Amino acid sequence: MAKDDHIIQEFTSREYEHGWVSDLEADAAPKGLSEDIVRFISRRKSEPEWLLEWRLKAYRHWTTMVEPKWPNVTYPAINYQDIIYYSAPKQKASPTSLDEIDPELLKTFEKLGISLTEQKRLSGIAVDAVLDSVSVATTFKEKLGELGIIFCSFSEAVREHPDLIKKYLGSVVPATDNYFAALNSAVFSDGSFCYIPAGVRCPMELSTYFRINAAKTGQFERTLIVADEGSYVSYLEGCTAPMRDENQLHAAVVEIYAMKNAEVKYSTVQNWYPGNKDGVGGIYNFVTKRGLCAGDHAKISWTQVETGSAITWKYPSCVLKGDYSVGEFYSVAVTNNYQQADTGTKMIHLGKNTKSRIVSKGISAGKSQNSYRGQVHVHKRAVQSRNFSQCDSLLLGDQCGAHTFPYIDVENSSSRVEHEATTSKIGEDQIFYCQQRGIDEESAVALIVNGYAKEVLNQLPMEFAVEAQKLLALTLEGSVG
Amino acid sequence: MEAATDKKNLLSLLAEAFDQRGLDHHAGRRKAMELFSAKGLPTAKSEEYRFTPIVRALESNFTAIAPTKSTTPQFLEHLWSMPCNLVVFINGVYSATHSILLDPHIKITRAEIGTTLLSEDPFALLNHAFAETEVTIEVPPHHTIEQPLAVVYCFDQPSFIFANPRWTCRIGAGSKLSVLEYTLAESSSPYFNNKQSFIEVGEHTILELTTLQQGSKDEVLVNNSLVNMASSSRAYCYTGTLEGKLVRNNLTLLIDGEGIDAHLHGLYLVGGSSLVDNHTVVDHRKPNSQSNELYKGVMDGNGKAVFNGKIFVRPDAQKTNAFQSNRNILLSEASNIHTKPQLEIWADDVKCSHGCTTGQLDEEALFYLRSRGLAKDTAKGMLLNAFASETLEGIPNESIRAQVNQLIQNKLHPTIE
Repeated sequence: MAKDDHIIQEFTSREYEHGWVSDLEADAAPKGLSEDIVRFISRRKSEPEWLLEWRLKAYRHWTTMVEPKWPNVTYPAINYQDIIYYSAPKQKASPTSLDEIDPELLKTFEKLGISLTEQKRLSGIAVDAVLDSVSVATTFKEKLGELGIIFCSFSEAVREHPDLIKKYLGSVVPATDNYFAALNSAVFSDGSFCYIPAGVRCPMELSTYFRINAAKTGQFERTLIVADEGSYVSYLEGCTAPMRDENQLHAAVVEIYAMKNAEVKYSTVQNWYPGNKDGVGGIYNFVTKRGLCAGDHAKISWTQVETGSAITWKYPSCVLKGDYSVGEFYSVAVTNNYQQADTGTKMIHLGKNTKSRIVSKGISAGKSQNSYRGQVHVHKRAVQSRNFSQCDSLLLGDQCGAHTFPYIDVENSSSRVEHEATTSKIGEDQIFYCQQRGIDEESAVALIVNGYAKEVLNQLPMEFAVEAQKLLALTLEGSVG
Repeated sequence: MEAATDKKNLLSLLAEAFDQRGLDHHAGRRKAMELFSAKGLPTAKSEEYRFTPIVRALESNFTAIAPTKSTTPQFLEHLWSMPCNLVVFINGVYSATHSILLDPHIKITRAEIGTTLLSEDPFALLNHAFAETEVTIEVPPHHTIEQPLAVVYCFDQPSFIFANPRWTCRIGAGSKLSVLEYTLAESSSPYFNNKQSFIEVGEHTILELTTLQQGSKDEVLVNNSLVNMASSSRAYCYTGTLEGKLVRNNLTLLIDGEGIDAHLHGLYLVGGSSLVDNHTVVDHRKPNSQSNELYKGVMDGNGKAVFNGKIFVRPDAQKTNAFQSNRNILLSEASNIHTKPQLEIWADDVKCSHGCTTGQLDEEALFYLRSRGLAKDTAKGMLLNAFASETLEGIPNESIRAQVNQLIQNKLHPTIE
């Protein structure tokens, strides 16, 4: 037992490794939220009139809404007037090449291991990096352009491809969808836009990297992915933030629009600052992610590894509108110390013969609370639909909690829906078995946890799987006995 | 907007009736009514009643006039072949003349309603405010009661009745009691049976609680049932719902001791435009206990079912084993099911799982039977019977099990024809 305590202590005392702050001059809006701030952001980004109107509409709707209280998380009330809604690293005009970008900024991304300088061309990932509120650089643009793929920052897309943005912005997550989506719609500062033309298979992984740098800012980015008929893209998202005593708000929106026969794979490794071991500080991660399988045979797959954030409130969902469309959700959520996660998915079956699969693995340690909340809704018209859900929870330590809230609504008689969930700790017999074969306790635990999460980790693209495994190993090695 | 005004009407009808009957002079009732008024009636926005429009089901013919004790109901007959100790409520009012005890060890007392609220459920509060009297059934320690205790709810009036039967049963340590709960009603009498029961199970005690719901076709039933279990006790709870326009079961088991073994089984056969809603709570508060839950349902016609099974494992409840399974068969296009198996766990050394399925009869099994010359309906009936009878494992008493099985079969046959 003494050994266990030691191990748990070692694990819980581990500090966040991305906790540095870059000394960048920032161009920021004053604190607070009002129509003027919305106008300020829109003006600063030289946006067209219609987008400003869209933002204002979202803002006005937001003022009539109340913050949702149903997630199984507790936190002190957020003062929305105490947040800086826009902060951009200061730049001289717009950079024409990477040489003109603030070297401090480049250093920031080097620390994160992101290949902005294209030196690591061999790693073969196109990156759009978003610092605080602004997209700072996008790589591999030309190469992608040859195939007709548009991959750029959101502001650039508004300038260069206004028709596409106008058509698809808010088509999956309307500006008035929920409290945080409305807030995001009003004040979103930048993000990534990606369009894959019909029949194109994107040759490399596309990636966005988010980092909150400045103090007291909120980050509100928006990602929009449009996959035209028969196209394929794999998209990665990663994020980090400095260590700070106060909580910072991150309310992002991700929209995926998949047309006939298109396939989109969206992977996230979320590693926001989780707060220190006493639960001070950390990011509030309130994110709306939704994909629409608009055409027949479309497929959207969400994979997420959630290790950071003080509070996570996130339900990547699939609306299966096209016949024979497929939705998938694979998730590993790890909570430690005082972290709280309420995460899961929604699979809305509307088309005929639609299929969905949910695999959710929760791991809670320390004094954390980890909830799975998911909905599977099979509409009357969605005949012959199929769903399989599995959500398992692993408890490490006796002061954490694991909760499951699955909602299953079936409205026709030809569909099959299955759900199963288990909660347990690592079996002593499993550890004993490994030890018997000469594997020490720590390695045994690592082995078992890895095996437990494997089904999800296998879904990640290679480059990300390595990072995710490292993160898991860092957080969990030897944390149980 | 119309629904909103109707709801207000129902609320004001209840408030008026409460004042008219002079119930507000009683502290306990007043407390319940105040809390109820503050909470209001549940709507589609209330998480616990999202799919269960009780207010709408009541709106059409609700009156809150005080129920009258009826003359001898013509149809008070034995549902069961064995002799039973009888506790009878007629139109929601306890009837001493009909309640006949065979076992002299059982004691029944009547008292004014207490001031302790059992639950904050709006209907439990309503019962607290309106129940005529608190009927307490006591079984002394170390007695095995041979004949089951039948709690019967009779309804014999053609006009609407708002009934609030309420009883408490205390089973002493080391005793054993089998409780049979059922309704006797004319097939079309309209009533709202808002029942509340509280069973306290002593240490080393065995409780068998079999609830059979087959009231009238116009029945609206809210069945609040709370079971509090002490160490080393055992409980077998069976809830079979065969009839009723709208049935809501709130079955709560408090596992408040160690070495407890709790079994919850349920079956709901929903046809026509009925709705059956089962909400169960198994609350593990102490370590080293186990619970096992199996609920199955068959939905036909426009039938709609709701299942919500909550399992709580509190921080102290280490070494808990809790299992839950919910299986549903949808027979018709218009039928539907909303299920939410919910686990909330705060202890690490536990084994908990839940599973839930929704589907159809197995095509291959059906084909197999038909290839052996069985008519489609017969084959379907056989498969449904097999599906349903698994839940009967939750009734330990063989003779009761056989009779419940017969009733289920009778009900299933018209469904398949």
